[in-house]
Amino acid sequence: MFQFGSLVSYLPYLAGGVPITFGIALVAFTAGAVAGLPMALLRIGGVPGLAAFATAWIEFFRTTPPLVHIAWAYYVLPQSFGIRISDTAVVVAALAASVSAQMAEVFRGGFLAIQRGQHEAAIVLGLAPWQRLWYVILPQTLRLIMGPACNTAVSLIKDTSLAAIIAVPELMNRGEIVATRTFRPLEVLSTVAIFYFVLTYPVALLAGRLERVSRKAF
Amino acid sequence: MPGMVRSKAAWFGVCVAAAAITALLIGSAPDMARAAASRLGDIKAHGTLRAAGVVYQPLITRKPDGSYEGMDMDVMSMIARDLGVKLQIVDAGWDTAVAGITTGKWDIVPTICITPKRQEVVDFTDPYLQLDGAIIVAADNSKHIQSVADADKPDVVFADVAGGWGEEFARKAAPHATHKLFSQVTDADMVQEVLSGHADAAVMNTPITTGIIRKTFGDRIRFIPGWDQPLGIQPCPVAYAIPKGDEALRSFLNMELEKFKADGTMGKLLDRWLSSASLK
Repeated sequence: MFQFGSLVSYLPYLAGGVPITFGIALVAFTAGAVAGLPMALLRIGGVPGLAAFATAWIEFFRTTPPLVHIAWAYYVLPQSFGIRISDTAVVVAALAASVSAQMAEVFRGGFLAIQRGQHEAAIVLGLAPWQRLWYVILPQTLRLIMGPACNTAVSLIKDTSLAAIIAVPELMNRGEIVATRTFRPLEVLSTVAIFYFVLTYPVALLAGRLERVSRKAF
Repeated sequence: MPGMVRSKAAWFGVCVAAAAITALLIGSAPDMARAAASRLGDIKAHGTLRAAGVVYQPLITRKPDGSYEGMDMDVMSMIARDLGVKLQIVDAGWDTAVAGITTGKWDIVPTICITPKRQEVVDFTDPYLQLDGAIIVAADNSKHIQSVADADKPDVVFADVAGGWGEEFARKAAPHATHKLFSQVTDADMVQEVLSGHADAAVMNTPITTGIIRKTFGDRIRFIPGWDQPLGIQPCPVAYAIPKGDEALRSFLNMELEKFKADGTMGKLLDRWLSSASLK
């Protein structure tokens, strides 16, 4: 049945994939969140050309699988654009683009959820558009989207496993390697699943907690 | 109340994790001793010989419609016919080929190199082909790798098929180089890695695969030391992998392979498939 003995000596090697997985997720999420906000603003902003571009970007990256983005970036960037970056950078870039589209929709949901009265009151107070955004709308939006943003983060941590196909030595790739060394894919991949659970569950718990905090504000 | 709700969610997570870990640990009982029945009995009872669908030009490859062809396909079809059963190819990769034997997903793996590590978990028929290895690099590679010593540096990246013979060979030949391990890939993918510059080097079987590479890619690929010169670091006797301890299946397969060698069938098939082989 299960035999975990041969796996024990490989645990440090497997565990070494966790910081890489976490690092990819952290950088991709930060870049994606930072890029997603202007995308959301452009989409609802009303400037025709920019709104169309933002909508196209968001819809494209939301409706296509991250695996396709990673494979595309890995093959097309060097050959067609002459951009040579490390494999890890390729994964981070592809996942950041995916996350930017998801976060743009999360932000947009947050903007739309703010009462019209807030916008109108801000206008009546004589605030310039950027002041309305910075002092009134954005703080409220950030409170509202914390839960959905954490859900996006959890999805992202799981999606980093796609980096295994281009042999980035993150957790999933290391799991595959150990499975071929020990000839025990069942035990190894069960252990990898536990590692991912340990990584994502705290974030999911955080999402629940933040949602309760954000409800308190009103 | 907020406090109770928070700890309930945390408790749930802890319980799920604990249940999962406990289940796995309980399941870690030693393997029950299996009855020494040969797989031949199962094969005849089900009327199907299951083989792992690994890919190795020109012995076994996939056509665009998903079906398999090649020298080993022909040999396995004849073996199945002699056994009076159907041949069924199950999708597989080099990383799962051996594990599939031990977990019972398939009965035999064709076209696989006998290595000491694999011999710990599976048995092999007698080899029907003897191969060795050489290193390939792209002709336009800027690192100017001319010898194995040049390749044995941390900044040289090898593209290896995880779990394959090539990975063991590459690690023995260049232990200080960086090894990128891919799952679910074939030698053709590794050649593309080298050609596109994602990797600097890879290990290929000689003389079969290197011959095909030379035919397909011409002088875009350089060989170390030469396309038909083996490095001799770890030879690859090609055989069929079978479940450990299955002497009945082993003798039967050895008899079949002996028959095909003796009457010239193997030689003819190899020539026929080699002449049409290409890595494009």
